[in-house]
Amino acid sequence: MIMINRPSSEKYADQLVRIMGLIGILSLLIGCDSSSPPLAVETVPDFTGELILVEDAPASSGNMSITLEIAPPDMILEPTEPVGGGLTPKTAADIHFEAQIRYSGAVLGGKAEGEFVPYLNVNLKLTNRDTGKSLDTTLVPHVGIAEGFHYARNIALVDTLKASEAGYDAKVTITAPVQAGSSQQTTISPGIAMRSDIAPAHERAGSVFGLKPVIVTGGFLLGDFKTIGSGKGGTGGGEAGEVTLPPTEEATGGAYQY
Amino acid sequence: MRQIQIVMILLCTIMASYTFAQPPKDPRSPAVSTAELGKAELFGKTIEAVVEVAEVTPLVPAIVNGQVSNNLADLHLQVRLFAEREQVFGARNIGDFIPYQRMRVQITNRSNPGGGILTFDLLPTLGNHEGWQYGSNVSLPSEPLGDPFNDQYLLEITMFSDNILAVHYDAVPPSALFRDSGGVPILSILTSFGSSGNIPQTPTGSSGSIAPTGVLPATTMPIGNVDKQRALVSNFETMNAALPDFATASILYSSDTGFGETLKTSFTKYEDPSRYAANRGITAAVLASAEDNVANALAQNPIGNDCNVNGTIFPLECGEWVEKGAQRMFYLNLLHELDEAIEKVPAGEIDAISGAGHNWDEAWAFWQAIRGTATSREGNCEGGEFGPPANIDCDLVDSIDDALSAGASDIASGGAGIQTHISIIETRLAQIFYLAVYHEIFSMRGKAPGDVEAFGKARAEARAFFSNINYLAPSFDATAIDDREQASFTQTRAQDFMQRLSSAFANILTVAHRGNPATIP
Repeated sequence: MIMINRPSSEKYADQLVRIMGLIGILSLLIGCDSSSPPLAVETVPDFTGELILVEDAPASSGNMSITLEIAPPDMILEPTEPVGGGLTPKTAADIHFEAQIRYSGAVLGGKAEGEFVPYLNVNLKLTNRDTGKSLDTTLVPHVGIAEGFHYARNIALVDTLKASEAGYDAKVTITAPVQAGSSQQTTISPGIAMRSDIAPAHERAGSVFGLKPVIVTGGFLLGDFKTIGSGKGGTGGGEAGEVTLPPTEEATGGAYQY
Repeated sequence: MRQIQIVMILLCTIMASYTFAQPPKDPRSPAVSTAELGKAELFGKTIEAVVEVAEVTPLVPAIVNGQVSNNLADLHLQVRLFAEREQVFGARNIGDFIPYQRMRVQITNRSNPGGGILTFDLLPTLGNHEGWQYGSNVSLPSEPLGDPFNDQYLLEITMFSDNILAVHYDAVPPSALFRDSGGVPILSILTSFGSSGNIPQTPTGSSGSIAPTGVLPATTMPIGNVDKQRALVSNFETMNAALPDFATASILYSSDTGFGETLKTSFTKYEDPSRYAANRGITAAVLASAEDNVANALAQNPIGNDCNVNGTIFPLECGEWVEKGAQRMFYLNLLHELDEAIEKVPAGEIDAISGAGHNWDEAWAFWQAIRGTATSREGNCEGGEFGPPANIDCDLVDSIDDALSAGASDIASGGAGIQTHISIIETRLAQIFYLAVYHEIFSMRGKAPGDVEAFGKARAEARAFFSNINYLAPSFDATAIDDREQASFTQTRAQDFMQRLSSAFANILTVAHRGNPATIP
């Protein structure tokens, strides 16, 4: 007979495993409680096309437009160091969240309607309305022939925030490009310089180049993805497409003082 | 007291405004609003970069790049990088700014080495009127007590993509623009940024008092990475240069080009008729001898009635079959890439990694091999031998270059219209080979009686060029140039041959694309 002297830490580990197992079984029993109604839609249904949450919302006094939309996850060639962390591969994601921020005309540095507004810092907060759990992430600049330049990210929505019957709130916060030399420079907002005809703060007030962030909100239900193609956009947000100008109190920080 | 305060505030505001609008600058700097130093069309003419110099421009912040400030600057340098077409590289409109690039500037003082070299990056700059550009104020690298506007400088601008964008697979940009960090040359120019240079200037094209003195063209193709294909072409050129050392050339023919492929293995692949669109009529019979001709020429074996006749070797003929035989393979490679490109476009596979964009790049790379062996005489119909006057369409080489660039642009924006460019490329190539045969017939007729070697070389060239296009007129009888007897290749036979060949290609070459057989001596 071979005796093995096991260290006490291993004994505790064994006990811990047993306890965790019991907790797991209890969790399963609670989870199987028939009084909890199953969610109508528990995953993002396969879809094609785009779910528009906010369409051409005017920003910057109407000089720019912002569209928030959700497309199927796409195969993306990843940047070397994506700001906000690595991009979720297509196979692991269930949505591709996009913010199209474009000029409405030849103002504030734009040359024509539809031109992309570059070097912005765009952050997304998605919140599960059932649980209140949130995902904060950066929308990084993407380029594609079909979509042009845009800010986006593949997201594993249900894996990250779980399915929600009440849907999700989407809040996109846009802050101005950082100033050259700033410690806040990133690869996607590497620091810009402004000419005299746009540098004074009042010239940019209320725009995405202003001192305060621009916030765009929308919402959607998992069931909305079944409606794509019917001409309907996101339905879960109540007042989907709210563009907050000037920003709310919670939208602070991020903008750089020129 | 309050009134005084208000007046003081107003006064300060006015002074501040004036200071902002009129920044200090080197008093010797040229009084030029904006002058173009040069421009480059990039990536198949989908993007244009315009390099300009201007007076010092007040920027906020005043100090950028850690080295230049408004107060110490001599001038403002800017690059406008914008889409030349709609729907390319993420742009929506012609003129849309192309962001997320890094513009590296190097300015070398050529007049006074003590002035040194200045290297820095332009920054994205935003102006209400000027829009987005890459720009910076610049303090020229000159000697401390010198006049910077008396010196001459080498200005070099290179665009780098630092792989900071996420790229959808539908985009051609997974290429040099957004993925590679090797750098794309934008401009290399000798210039004095002033009006009173102490070095002779060439003011051609100058504007204002700033005189560019020489602009080197920028590369426009390829869009993506074709290092492998370039290596094949490079190996071919090296092999060709080794001739008449057939032993060395043979080694090069079977040497790895660095990508696990030799010229021989690459060429052999293209003997497969399934690689070509069925309607081309490139059959197994057409391809049967394609690669063999090159291998046999290198081994100095008989090729029809050329190269080795009953054990007598004619090195010049063998050499021609090596060069023109390899050229034929590159031509076939090119056709294959065009066929693949047109096949992928409807499916939206247009990227430059594995889609039509890449096939187009490969076609461009293979064209470089043909371009090198299609002489300017055939390609641009120099000389009077194609008829008095040379009334055929010329600029064939340029035409193919342009069609490749335009096709790349079309692919970058979805691929519509690509067939037009393919037709131009195919027709022009057929025309070049046809004219090459024509020229060699002239050449055969021009050899001195008894100059068997020179006559044989011209004949081998004619036959090799003809083999490129034989499939386009499969029933054409080319035996007239099989005969090695110089004396029997009379003017009548030569003229008759070209007349019939011209007729055989009537569906490909318009009258304007042909020479006049009656001029053959």
